[in-house]
Amino acid sequence: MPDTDRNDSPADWSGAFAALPMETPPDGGWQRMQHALDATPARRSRRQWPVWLAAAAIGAIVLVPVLHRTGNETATPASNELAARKRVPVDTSRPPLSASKRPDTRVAANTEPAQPIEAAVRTEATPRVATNDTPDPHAAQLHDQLAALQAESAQLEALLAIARDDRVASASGAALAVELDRRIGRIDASLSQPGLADVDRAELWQARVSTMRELAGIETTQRWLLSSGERYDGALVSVD
Amino acid sequence: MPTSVPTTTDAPRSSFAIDVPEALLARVRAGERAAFEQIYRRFERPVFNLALRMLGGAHGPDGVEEASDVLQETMLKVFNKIGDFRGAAGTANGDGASPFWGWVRQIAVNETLMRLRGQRRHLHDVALEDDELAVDSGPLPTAAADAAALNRALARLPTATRSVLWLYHAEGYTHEEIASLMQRTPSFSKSQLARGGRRLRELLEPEKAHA
Repeated sequence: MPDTDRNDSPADWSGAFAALPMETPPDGGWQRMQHALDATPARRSRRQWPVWLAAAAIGAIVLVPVLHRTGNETATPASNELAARKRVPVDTSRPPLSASKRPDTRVAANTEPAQPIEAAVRTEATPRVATNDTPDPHAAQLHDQLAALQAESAQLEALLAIARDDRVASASGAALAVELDRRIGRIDASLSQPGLADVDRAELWQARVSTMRELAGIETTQRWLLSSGERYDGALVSVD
Repeated sequence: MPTSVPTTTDAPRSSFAIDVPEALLARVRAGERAAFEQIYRRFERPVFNLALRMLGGAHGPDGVEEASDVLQETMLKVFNKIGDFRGAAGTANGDGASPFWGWVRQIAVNETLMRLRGQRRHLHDVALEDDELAVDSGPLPTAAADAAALNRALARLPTATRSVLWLYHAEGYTHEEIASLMQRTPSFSKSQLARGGRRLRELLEPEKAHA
């Protein structure tokens, strides 16, 4: 076997990882893909509504105390620009455009390293990318707001790490938490887009914190109910 | 703070670095299914491999199924969003445009990270800022050349650690890029990298770890 016959150690982890054989997906992937291409729109629109409705309804009931408390602590005057954009839906579906900026990344056929990721979005109509060369009170306010949101997000992550217990969770609570996790994942994917304007970034972070609050509320409520012998719903499921 | 780039003599080459003719992309943009199949065939292995490595499922049917799901979701997004792609088809472009493969890879990474978060595998990995002070250095263990042993060791790492290792060492992302992808700080990426390297050594050389 080629793997065990080699007696030379790779120089570094990059070399070791590069020497791993490329895995091959199971047969039938393209056929599956074709079915998905044909079926995707109808399937998704039908499936997602009930979960979001349930999340909104139960979240509104369960999270009032949490939102009340954290809302008082973090409510800072939003920038006019952000406030004006508040009702604009956040696009969490657009995939980011990027190749690595790491200078030593090699690409095919000994070509130049991947170019800066900003170039990928250069042709998009995004002139709102913030710059640092002109003092802008709105920009400073946005930066402060962004820092506060990121700090709260980190606190909520820490709270979740403590509060979350996957071994015992109610069925509906677990389903809601998974859906909220997915929503956060979509927001994270949007946040990873290069060239985001500060106002868009702040909007996404606001959405992230709001979702994290919902998630933290569900998890802490589940733990609290469990500790007092109650349950979120009638069916407890154990997840190993 | 400067990014600590490891002293590599051979920088990572992404398996995604595949040139695609502009004419082929134009046909896909026009909705031609046969043209998209060509794109799919070119990138199915890199996408599947990346997902399998990051998910840590190289040794089980569940992992293969998960990675297959990531492959499908990634390629669905490529097909549905290809109209948004504004970069260049190949890599040797002179105008600084992002290559198509970089776009595909970014979608695949995001899809994998979304799946990890959806399955709640991320949150319990806590970064220790001091970890980055302990640099993972020195020659690699001989066992690092054994693909099976290295696969097993990788599978035993925490998810976030394994993901950072793979994105940095195999795909060539910077700490800043990894931080952006994972909504963490560059320090998190650095500490995970250092911790992961040390842990991999321990797993590949257990006798030295306990000496």
